[in-house]
This record gives sequence, structure tokens and C-alpha cells, in this order.
Amino acid sequence: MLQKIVLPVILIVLTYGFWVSPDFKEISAGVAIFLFGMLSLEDGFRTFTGGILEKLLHKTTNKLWKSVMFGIVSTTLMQSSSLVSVITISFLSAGLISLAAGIGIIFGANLGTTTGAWLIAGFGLKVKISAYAMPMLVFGIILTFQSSKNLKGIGYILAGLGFLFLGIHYMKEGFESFKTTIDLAEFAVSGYLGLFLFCGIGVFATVVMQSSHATLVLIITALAANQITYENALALAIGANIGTTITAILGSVSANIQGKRLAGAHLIFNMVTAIVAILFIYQIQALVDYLSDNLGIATDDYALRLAVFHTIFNLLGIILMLPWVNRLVTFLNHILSDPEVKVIAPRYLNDASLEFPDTAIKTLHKEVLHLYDNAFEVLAHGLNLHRHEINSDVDLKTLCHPSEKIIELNIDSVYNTKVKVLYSAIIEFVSKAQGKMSPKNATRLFALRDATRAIVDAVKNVKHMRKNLLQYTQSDNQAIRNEYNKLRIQIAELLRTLNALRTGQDVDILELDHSRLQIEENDVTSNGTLDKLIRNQQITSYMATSLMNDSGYAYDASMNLIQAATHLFGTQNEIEQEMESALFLDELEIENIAEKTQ
Amino acid sequence: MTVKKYLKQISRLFNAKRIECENKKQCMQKVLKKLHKRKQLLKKQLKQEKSAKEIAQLKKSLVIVCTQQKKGIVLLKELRKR
Repeated sequence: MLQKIVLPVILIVLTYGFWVSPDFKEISAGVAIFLFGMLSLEDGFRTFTGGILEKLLHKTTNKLWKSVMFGIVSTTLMQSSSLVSVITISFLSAGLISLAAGIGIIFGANLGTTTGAWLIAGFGLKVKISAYAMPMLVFGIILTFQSSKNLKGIGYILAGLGFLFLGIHYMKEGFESFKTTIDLAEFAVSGYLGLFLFCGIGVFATVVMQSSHATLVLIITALAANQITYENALALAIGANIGTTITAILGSVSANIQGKRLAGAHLIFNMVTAIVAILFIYQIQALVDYLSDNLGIATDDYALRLAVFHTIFNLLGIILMLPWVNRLVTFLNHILSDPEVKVIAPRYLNDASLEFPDTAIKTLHKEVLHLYDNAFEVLAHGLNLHRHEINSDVDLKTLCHPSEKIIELNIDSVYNTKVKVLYSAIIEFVSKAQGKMSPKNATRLFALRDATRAIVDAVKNVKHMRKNLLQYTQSDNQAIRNEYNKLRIQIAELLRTLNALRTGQDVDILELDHSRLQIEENDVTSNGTLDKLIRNQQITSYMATSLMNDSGYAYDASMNLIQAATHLFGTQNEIEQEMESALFLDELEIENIAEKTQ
Repeated sequence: MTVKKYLKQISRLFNAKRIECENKKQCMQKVLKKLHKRKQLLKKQLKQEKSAKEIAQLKKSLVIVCTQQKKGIVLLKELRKR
């Protein structure tokens, strides 16, 4: 309802804004292009999930000091802490790094950005990486048209960076008219009030110019012209540090909750550093003077002294905040919690039915079917397939192709909310009911409990294989891709058969033995496929071990589902069920048939 | 087939139960009857099928049904003896 009102209002306000102010139009377009760049960047990095980039990032950011170093080096090279922050948000959104590693990179980026101050002060040099924006855009778009997944991914990254710079460029252009209004001399106030005021101006100037380096140039110029005092210049530099977080905050708009948390960490870090720096500005100033004198920096060389200050206060921030990283992660997880996932409560179980054993069994049967439906959703999405695709007549092979879209799924969270809750309730119900059951009913009760456990185990097995499954079904190696798609099809086909059984189509429960035979034959370890693939060097040994494990998970998940189905979807007549169960083939019989029919 | 499906839906709508078996012997006979029907169907499909892959699958199903049938017949004999 709210969205129905808010969206038209926003559109109307924007339209009016575009009509009355060309600058507003330019700024808004800049923000839009910037956000589009973020989306493209995220898509690009997501292509490399589970690949070389993830391994490289894991190796270079698995310890806090390593991620800080990563931030320092990358920002020194790129000369833009905003860009590094934005890329880090994309890494995090794509699930390539952890939040703690992201925070480490942001800390490092804050120190890395101080090298810019040294370059400006020492050599009057300002690196303009935005000059590469246009070529990036062109190369990026060309690469997105390529069929190779990796080239496409690089294309999206380059195009994303290009759009980011283009967006920043338009924002700068839009803010150009505001730039002339900044006359620093007007605000000259002494004492702490002046410091806070200039810090605010520093924030504003950096937001307007979209670059803390540009603000530094402005400060040095104003200082050289005696427009502001040295203290005020320091406050401006502190403000510039806060202002630079705006880009990261803007970038986090299109990011997931992890990206937002990182932007929050960036803001907190820069704010805390700024407050400490302002409170102890005179002490820091004394330290800057002491170090500058010892380094041989002239008393009137404010530019270099400013660079020293910039480095010291960012280093101070890192020293202050580094021991609190884990607490910061906990705090951010608490403040910016995951969007609430609706917990699925038991639909049929109630204590009243416990008094009537037959009713209790029927109630339990319905609840286990409810659990099966939820598990079916998790299993389908875990296999990166939609439920309607599994339940249709579509050839599943046609659905498994490298460019298929990944279904967003937090499998742990969904397992907890949609499966585990029901599982716990069912187990509790069975425990309460068993004392009141006749031996005949108790057998049925325990059969349903076994079915429940089998369903849950099937979900857990698919949960284990999901990460590799997503990685290898998008792989350029056709052999591994095919094998993982076979695993998906095996489970999906079984789910399709079970659906037919459940809906009373012309499938008999005893036909599940055919599914068991197929699963037995598909086992890559026993049918020799794995050895063949390694021998022919079609897959690496690393891939082989993953495939071996995941094939085991797929086998177990399939057998779990068959076990659950025999209790759930067969006849409700206990005697008939017993007779059917007696005719199911045992493992040895299945193996014999597999050997005979090979 | 569509008529059959329709009738099934109707019977389900009226909660019409199939005639259930009452003892093990009856139930085994019912299951064996179902298996026999499936066996006939598989044989018919096997005759009509052209694709080698599908033929192989049908043959496997047929072997499974025959094995299940054999097991059932043995069990039925034992039930009759009791």
C-alpha cells in the first residue's frame, strides 16, 4: 500500500525537480548511473563466485592484517578510497568476502588514501583514474557480448567501473554551481566551534566534489592564500574523511544487507576517527609538528604537514578501531539485521488430537506432508530450479545451461524457518503421542517420524552440495558442468516422480525401485565415470574430490526422499502397505539388476 | 486416459474409497494384480518404443517388476500355507 503511494510521489517530485533545475537533473542522473554501475559491478563479481577471484580474495583477506594491507595497497594503486569502498561492497554483496574482511579493507583504504595527500603535497600530482572511465565502458560493453563466462564477468566489472565514474562525473557537474558558493574565509571561527564548523564544511565540500583529494587541494590552496588557519585546515581534512563515506553509502543502496553493514562500518570508523581527532587536535598537531621537524619539513610547508596529519589521524583511527572489529561486526549485525524471514509454524498439529490415536496419526501425516512441501521448495531452489519447472513436463536437461540465473537462497535461514521448526514440532508431537498408541498405530507413528527424518536429511544433503553445484554448473569446464547437472537432474526427476505419486497420477509406489536402480547406476564413483574423467584429464583432482563428495550427497538425498515417499505417498491401508514394503527390492537385488542390465 | 483421470478426480471429490483388502493374503493378491497390470503395460510400451535409450529403460523396469512379482508369488504361497 505504502509503495503504491511512495513511488508515484517520488516520480512526481523528480519530474518537477528535472523541470525546474538542470543541476538537479544532472545530479539525479549521476546517482542513477552510479547505482547502475554498482549493479553491473556486483553482477560481474558474482560471476567469479567460487572461482579464482574468490580464492585470491580469501587468501589475501583471511586475516585482519591481510585485509588491512589489501585496503592500503589497492587504494594506493587506485588513488581513490571511495572506489575501493564501493568495490569492497560489491565483493561483499557477491559473497566473495566476509564482513570482517571488508571492514579490514575499509580501514586499510583509509590509510591508503593518505598517500594521495603525499602525492599532492610532495609532487603537486593528482592521479585521475576517472580518465580511464570511457575506455573501461567501451571495453566492458564489448566483453559483455562474449560467450565466455569469465570474459562476460570482466566486461560487467569494467562497465560497472565505467558507469561508476560516469555517475560521479555527472554528480560533480551537477554540484559545480554549489562549488563557487564555498568561500572558506567567510567561516573563520576560532576554537572548538570553528573546528566542528570546518569539519562540516569539509564533509560538504567532499560530497559536492565527490573526492577527498579535491578537497585536500582546496584546503592547501586556501591555506596558502591565508584564507584559513592551520587548525581549520586540519578540521577540513577530517571532514573530507567523513565526506568520502557518502560514496560508499550511496553504493550500498543497491547492495544487500552485508553491503549496507560495510557502509555502516565505514561511516562509524570515519566518524569515530574524526571525533577523536577533533578532541585531541592540539596533541595531534604537536605530534605532527614534532614529526615534521624531524623529517625536515619546513614550518611553512603546510601541504606536507597536512599530509603528515592526514596519515597520523587515519593511523590513529586504525589503531583505535582494530581491536573492536569483531564487536563492530556484532553491532552491525544487530543494528542492520537480516530481513525477517517468516517462520512457518505447524499447520495441523495440536494437543487435542493426541487424545484420539487415529486422528493423531492423520494429523501427523498431514503435517509431514506440509513439511515435505516446504522441503520440496528448499530442495528445488537448492538445485537452482523452480518448483513449477520440476512439476512440469519440460525436459529438465533444457533447463540446465551455463547462463541460467542463480536463485537467491539463504539455505541455512530457509532450513531453519521452513524445515527445522516443523521438524522439531513433529518430533515433539510423536514423543507425546507414542504413549497413547496401540502397537499398530505406534508402527505408523514411527514410520511417519522416519519419513520426517528422511526429508530433513535430504534437505541437509542438498544444502551441503549447493555451493559446489552453483560453482560447477557455471563452470567453463564442460565435463564437470555436465556431471553436476546430472546430479541436479537425478534429484529433480525423482521429485517429479514423487509429485506424480502424491497427486495420484498413474505411478505406483513400487515403481520407486526403478528410481533406486537409476540412482545406483548414476553413482559416479561406482560406475567408473569419475576415474575416466580424471584419467582423460577432463577434470582436475580438486574437482574430482568435490564431485565424489557431492555425488554421495545426491545419492543420500535421493534415497532419503524415496524412504520418505514410501511412508507418505503409498496406500494408507497398513496391511497393504506392509505387503508392498515386502516387495521392495533390497540393495543386493538392485545391484544385481544393475549388473545384468548394463 | 483423460476420462480416467477425470473419474479419479470425481471419486476423490466424493471421497469414494476403493474396496480395500482386509487381510495379508487379499492385500498381496491386490498388489500382485497391480504388478501384473504394470508388466502388461510395460510389455506393450516396449513393443511400440523406437528409441534405444527408452527401450533400455523399459527393459530395466520390466526386470524390476518381474523380480517384485516373483517375490510376491513366493510370499503369497507362504501366506496360503498358514
